Amino acid sequence: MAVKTGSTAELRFEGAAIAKVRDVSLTIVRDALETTGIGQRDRTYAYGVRGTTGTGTLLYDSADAATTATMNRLLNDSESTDTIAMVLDTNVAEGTLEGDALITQAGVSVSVGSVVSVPISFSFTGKPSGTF
Amino acid sequence: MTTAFPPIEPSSRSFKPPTYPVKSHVSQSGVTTRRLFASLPSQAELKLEFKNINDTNATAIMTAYKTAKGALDDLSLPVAVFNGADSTLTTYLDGSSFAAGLKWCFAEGSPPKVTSVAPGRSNVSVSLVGELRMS
Repeated sequence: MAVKTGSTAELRFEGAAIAKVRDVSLTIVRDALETTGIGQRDRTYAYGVRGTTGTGTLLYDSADAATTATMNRLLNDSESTDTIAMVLDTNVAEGTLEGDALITQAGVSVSVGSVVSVPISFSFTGKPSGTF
Repeated sequence: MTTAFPPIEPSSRSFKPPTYPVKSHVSQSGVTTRRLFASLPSQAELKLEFKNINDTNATAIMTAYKTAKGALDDLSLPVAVFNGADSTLTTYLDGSSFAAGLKWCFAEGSPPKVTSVAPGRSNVSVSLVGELRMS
């Protein structure tokens, strides 16, 4: 057993690994519905609806199809969703979360003396499959 | 017939005391005269909000409304409805300090409102009226 580093992680778009990813984060949120009664002094909650979103920064590489496909997705008028997978350890089957997602943001940042970076955001529709 | 309201603690509660049937008359000289036309007040209002309650509790409120046939039958209110108030204030909120025999029932034309907010969770608002009834 050992902790993992970014070298074993991978972000996949439509099943293809994106070549260069500087950082990526995935957040799963479940609403906390307040159920506090009028006679209680401490707040109580119940689980509500779940939502899964993510952000990341890709490094632009025109030769990498997965990178350009992710960026071009926002220029595509198609209503269909895409499969996004976050793999924490490419050496094992566990630690992969995958699901249908919408690319909600993709920008390009260019500056002198630095690589061209592409910040992206995505939102899963429905519950992602897999476990950590 | 009296229907038992389910013992669910509300998230918020608002109360409007019963009113005395007072009529006022202003004479030509400008003097105001007020007369009381009954010995007891009535028409108190109690509004209860239940936030994010589970389906079992929401169903219990619907069942009470159905059993009481809306505003027809009166209700017995459990202590849970008055949670958060001390015993003295509770006697005012339940109407007993204002008028013995004040009976609570669902407000006519204002049935409980259920707003579903998540699977298995709903917000329910209930309007009750306290009135004097012929037994």
